[in-house]
Amino acid sequence: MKTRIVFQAAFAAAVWAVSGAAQACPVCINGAGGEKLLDAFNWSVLFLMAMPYTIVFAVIGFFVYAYRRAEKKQRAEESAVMSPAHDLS
Amino acid sequence: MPREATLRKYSEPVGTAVPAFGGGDPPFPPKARAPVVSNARLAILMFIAAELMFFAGLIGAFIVFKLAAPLWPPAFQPRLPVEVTGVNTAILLASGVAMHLAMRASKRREPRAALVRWLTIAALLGIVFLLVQGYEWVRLIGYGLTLSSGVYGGTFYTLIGCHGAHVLGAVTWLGLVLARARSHRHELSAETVDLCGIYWTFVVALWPALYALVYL
Amino acid sequence: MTESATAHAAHAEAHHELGFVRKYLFSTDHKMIGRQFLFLGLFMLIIGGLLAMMMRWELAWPETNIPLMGWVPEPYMYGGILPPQTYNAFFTMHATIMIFFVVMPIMVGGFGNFLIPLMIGAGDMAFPKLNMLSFWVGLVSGIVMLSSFFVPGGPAAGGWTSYAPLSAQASFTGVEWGQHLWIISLIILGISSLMGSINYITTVVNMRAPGMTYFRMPLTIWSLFITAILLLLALPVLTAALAMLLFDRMFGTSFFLPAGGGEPLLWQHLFWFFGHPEVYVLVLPAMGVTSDILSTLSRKPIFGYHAMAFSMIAIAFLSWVVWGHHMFVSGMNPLLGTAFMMSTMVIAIPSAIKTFNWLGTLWGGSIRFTAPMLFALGFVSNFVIGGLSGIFMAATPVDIFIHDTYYIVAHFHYVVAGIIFALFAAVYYWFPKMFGKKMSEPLGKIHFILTYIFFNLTFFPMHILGVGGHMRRIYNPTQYEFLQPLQGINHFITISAFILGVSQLFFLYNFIASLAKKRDAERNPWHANSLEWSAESPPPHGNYETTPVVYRGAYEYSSPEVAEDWLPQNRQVSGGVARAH
Repeated sequence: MKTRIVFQAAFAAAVWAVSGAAQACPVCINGAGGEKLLDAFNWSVLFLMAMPYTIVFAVIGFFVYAYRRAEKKQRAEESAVMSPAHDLS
Repeated sequence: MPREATLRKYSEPVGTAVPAFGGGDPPFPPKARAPVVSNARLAILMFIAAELMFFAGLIGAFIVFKLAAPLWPPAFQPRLPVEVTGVNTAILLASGVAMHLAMRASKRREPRAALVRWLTIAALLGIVFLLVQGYEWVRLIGYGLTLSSGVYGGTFYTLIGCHGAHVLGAVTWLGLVLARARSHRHELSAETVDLCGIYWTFVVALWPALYALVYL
Repeated sequence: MTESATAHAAHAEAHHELGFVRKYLFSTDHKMIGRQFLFLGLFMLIIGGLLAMMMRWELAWPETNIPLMGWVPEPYMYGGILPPQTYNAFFTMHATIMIFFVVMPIMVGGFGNFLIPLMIGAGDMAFPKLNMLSFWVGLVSGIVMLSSFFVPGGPAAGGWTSYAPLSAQASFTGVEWGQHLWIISLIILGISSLMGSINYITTVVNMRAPGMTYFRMPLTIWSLFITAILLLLALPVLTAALAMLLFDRMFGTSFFLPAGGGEPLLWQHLFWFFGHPEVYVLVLPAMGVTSDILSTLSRKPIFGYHAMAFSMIAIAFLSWVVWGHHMFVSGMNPLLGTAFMMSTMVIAIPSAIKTFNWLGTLWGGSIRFTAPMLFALGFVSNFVIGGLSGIFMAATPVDIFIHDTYYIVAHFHYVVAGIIFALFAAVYYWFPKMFGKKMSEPLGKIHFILTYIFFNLTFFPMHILGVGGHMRRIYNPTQYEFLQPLQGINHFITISAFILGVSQLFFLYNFIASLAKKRDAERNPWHANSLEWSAESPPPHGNYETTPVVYRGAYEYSSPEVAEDWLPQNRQVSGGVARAH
């Protein structure tokens, strides 16, 4: 059972990977500009796709860092207020 | 009359409400707290995010042209001044360091003179960068590389020109901050310096990427 | 009670009156700016609608005199006959106006400005002056766009997508300044919406009232917050592409012109990289207000609040990886095409989550069939049809068949013109809060019934036209033999469209007549929970007498804790106090 699923998944992946060569659609004119143009567009697409995620995760990361720092600072201040009171008692 | 209460609401005893519908027990009493990242800082970060996407659009176009071209730079086009601009990159990076020192000085509340000194150095280095860029542009135009000389010229001038315009804007902003720092009538908050500094850092940090992409 | 106490405080407070200019024109009050955006959008809606009417006439009875249009000078019209050039200009401007100057100003600009500070319990936006600037820059952009009707050559005629190289050289469409102004206007609009989105994000992150955690915000605020992030990151890419296009047209570069080594396909990539997130910019606020209205007017908590919020986040995340589905027939690496097909089908999942949750909210509720509720239901049902036809098209083989046909036109009108339903719902729902007056309920119902019926009679037959091969953007369908049997459908659509257009007069009359009335709205006419209803109608400058404190989420309807069937977010329940300790 398990091997069958694995085999089927591998087969599907393989078909997907080579489907470009097998597809015969009238509008797939990607060959017109040559392999280089294809590559160029692929890299540009990947770059553009990555940008929003990079920015959003960077900002979220910065926020997590800023909140942690603020919390730590607040805790430090609270303990600084607390300790003299202990001394008095 | 709660006649249409949901089944779930009734089936649970009051007082053990689970966090549902975005509700749940409030942190009691709810208290206001100062924002961790101030409004102005957040705004400048958002602005930089948008600027990055703007440059991403231009760079995305540039990548297509550069990678698709059989020869880059194309034949019979002048080569870009790699060495001079490399030195210029170092100048801009140095201005970034100066700005960083200025931000540190303002954060540590050092005497105003230290702040003014670092800000002046940053601004002067920025201006030198712009002048060198301008001089190189004039030379390139002299060699015949213009906006209309194919995608090579077009991408070069738009991409580098957009960055130049940003440096110009940053220098203008820095000039205003510097004027405030020099006049002793004004109180200068650390945030005023910081905002300008964050933007300056963005403009400086963007440049090496553009240099590597366009010149090398 | 706290409410009566605050009411007394409000009456006791002496307002210092601002002058006319500061109060109504250059106001920094987010509520006035919201109203300004609303009026701008409604004005543009009339223009965009009239353009559509003329196009429908042309498609049903090609090259005949359009009634009442004989006054338009040549060469724009010939005694009321629409020439192909003007037809091209009209569909370009219809789409541009509807997307950028109707839905965006009203949903994002208007309701975003009006609702964000009120619903999160803030006095105003984080940057009121920037907010004012955002409106005025937006208005300039609108004026530039409209002025292109009056320049030689007429307005832009390359479609709202302005595909290069058609748009990259004046000689291709015969439009010189119209296209320039189109580009310039959208660049200016980009600046306006950049200012707006920075303001929205900062306000939501930093200005929430005490107790208003992220997961107590009404879904309207969630949707506007996510929309602002999408706008912030998507529009600059369009600005970059527009700048390159403008350079191509004015300064002799050749980014998109193959003659100079450029790549026309690049425009499509950059445009749709912006364009697809833009689709969600349009639809997310509509989803947000629908969630609030459905929950309030069926007197039930929203079904799956967290699922609703997270599905919007999921839509925003996926919206960046689906743009290629607009380009299946533009020539694409089949591997890339398959990837885009998959991602497009995946994005249907969060949308479906939202739809099922809306239905779950309605289930067993005691639904109040008021005008806003009817329009919200109309939005949901149209969105289902538009969403499902979207899944068909996501499949590349299907898309290759129906690409550039009326099937596509039907699909995006079900989605984008369907947003107008949410827009009307929001206007009917928040009108009492915006202007302190109630709109007529019977007129609203008539408006809904006519709009709903004739909307569907207008756009549903377009699916059939599309499968029959009727191309999008053609000037005269009778020129094609294979389309002649379909011409009857075209007549039917056009007549429906005219009735749809005329039924909007009910809204227009209702809107204007209600504005002219005396103030008659109480604070909370819908018995809703969210914070804006605890302020006066309309709220004064500064919104709240005291900063509200939030104790719960916005959807505690029919709660057993109180006798009424609503429980405002800022009301402290005595049992709640005991519970908290």
